[in-house]
Amino acid sequence: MSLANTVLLFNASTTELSVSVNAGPKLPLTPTSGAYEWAPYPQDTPPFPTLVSGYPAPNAIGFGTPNSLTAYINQVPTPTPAFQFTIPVGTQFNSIQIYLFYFSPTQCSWVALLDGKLLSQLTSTYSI
Amino acid sequence: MAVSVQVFNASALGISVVVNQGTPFAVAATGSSASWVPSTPTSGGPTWTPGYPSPNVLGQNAPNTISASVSGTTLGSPLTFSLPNSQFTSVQLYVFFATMSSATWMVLVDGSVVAQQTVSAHAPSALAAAD
Repeated sequence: MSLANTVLLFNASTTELSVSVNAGPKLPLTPTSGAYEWAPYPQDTPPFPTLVSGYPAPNAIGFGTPNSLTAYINQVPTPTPAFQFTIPVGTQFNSIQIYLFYFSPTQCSWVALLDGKLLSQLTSTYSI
Repeated sequence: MAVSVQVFNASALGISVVVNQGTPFAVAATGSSASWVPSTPTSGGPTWTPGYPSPNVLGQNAPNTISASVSGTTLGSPLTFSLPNSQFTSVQLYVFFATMSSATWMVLVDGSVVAQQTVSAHAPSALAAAD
């Protein structure tokens, strides 16, 4: 099974967001809008995060120890807490989908799905 | 100005949705062939009114309810939510399948979250009573 291109990031908000996966590079996420019929906008510019069979690594979702995702809103540099979730070793799936929802300039919410089934969720609050 | 209402199913299971005790409508599954972009109803989805909610019509003057089911099994208790008393152009309703008895709902207005809840078939009070 190819593990490449199986991590999908969606921005459900009208706000420019960026995400760092396991301390990897900031990945810009285009906002959605009425022009896109409000469908969550998938990441459309590389580098795309990958799924690896081992432990989490920068810009790679892995198994057995926590993955840590950080969102940046309006260039706020240190949002806390990061969104952390662990995929147990041996879990069988083909794709992970991660949604970002925007509450306000200081809050966002995360939802992670494995093949469309809820894995984890968190609402993060930011300090400005 | 018309307000659009989108319902998004992010799961690999087709669901049936009921808004304010209206007629159920179907939202197909998504999957790898759709790049996991969530599905929307092809017909029968809800509409919006600035007044009071009614069957399959979201309203601003009182709380709305929404529920989802898979193969006749309801995914937790209905979600009750209110829409803000302000002007907006669109409502987005996301359902995230968790188990055959629970789901997470996200309600957005113009891309900002206004309600979020995980609903389960067993309310906390019911669990306490069972203990």
